[in-house]
Amino acid sequence: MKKITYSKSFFLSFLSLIFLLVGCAEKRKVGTISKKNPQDQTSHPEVKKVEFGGGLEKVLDVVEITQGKVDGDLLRIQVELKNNSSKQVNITHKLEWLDNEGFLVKDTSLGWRAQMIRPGESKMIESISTRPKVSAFRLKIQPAKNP
Amino acid sequence: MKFLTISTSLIFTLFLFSCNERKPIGRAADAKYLEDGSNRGLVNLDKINAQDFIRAANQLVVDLLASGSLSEAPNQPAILHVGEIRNDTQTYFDTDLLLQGMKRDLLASKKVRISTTAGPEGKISDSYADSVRKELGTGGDKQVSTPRPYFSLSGKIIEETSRVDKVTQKDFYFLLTLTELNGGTGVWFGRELITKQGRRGAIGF
Repeated sequence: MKKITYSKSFFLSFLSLIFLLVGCAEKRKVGTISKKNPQDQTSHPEVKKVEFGGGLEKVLDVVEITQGKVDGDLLRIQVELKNNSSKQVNITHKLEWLDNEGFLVKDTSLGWRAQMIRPGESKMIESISTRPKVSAFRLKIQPAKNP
Repeated sequence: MKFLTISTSLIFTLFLFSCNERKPIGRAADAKYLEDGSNRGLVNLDKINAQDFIRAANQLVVDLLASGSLSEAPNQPAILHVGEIRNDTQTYFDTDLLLQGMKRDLLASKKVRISTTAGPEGKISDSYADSVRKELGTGGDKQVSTPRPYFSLSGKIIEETSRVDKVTQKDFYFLLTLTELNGGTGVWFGRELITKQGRRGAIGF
């Protein structure tokens, strides 16, 4: 009888640890916003399904992506995010540009930055690629560490 | 039997530890590498951190490209002279931490070419390249071209501090001006503000 109790408690502790570890990993999960078709050149390309983590999936919506060109060859994008909750949302985001061949462009956009979105507010994240042969992007979003 | 089990476990444990990598003893041994622009870097209230320079450089380049000022030059790509950026903050840093990223991005955009021989000797320009060019120029070498910069970029970084109770707010203003040299007038006035607020620094954001 005593043996069974020990095994049960060990099993429960082990399970709790697994849940705790999974929970911690999920809390800082990175969601990626991109175009469904990377070669889509329309002004409002279709958004690829985003899987946010850390509770962002319940509060944050990608309204739309707008894209255009600056000086005829530099890709300009704007991603509209909406906070659908009644609480302030703090995120960090990073933009990655991909060239026509799918290679990552190494420029100053490769830095995480903080962003706060008020309840019910829409925020635009806008940028311009600094390389002419860029056709796609990936906007990475993660819950902020210090809310 | 009991002795055998204990001995086997001990040998197995020793074997496992011997295969493991050697680590310094103590809690403080936690140094690690961070990726460029990481959101796990330190956030200091009293200074501009690496992620702040990257963000400021990127925002200023994006704003400059969006303004369309560079494409107004008659000859494309226009030649840009990058002048002095004054550090008016309370901490010392080399302003190339801001400028090098901007120069890389502007050059890659193919909207400008950046002069590295114009400007005060040794500080902004490459003095060796400048002296070689001068020597070749006086020797009548026709391969040495002397294109004049069409634009000049200059600016300053300002720090403002405010406090309420124990909360400190630091505002770092990155102010840049693009001057069209023919007319001598400013054609773009860039401003990027980085504000930090809190009681003390943090690890990550």
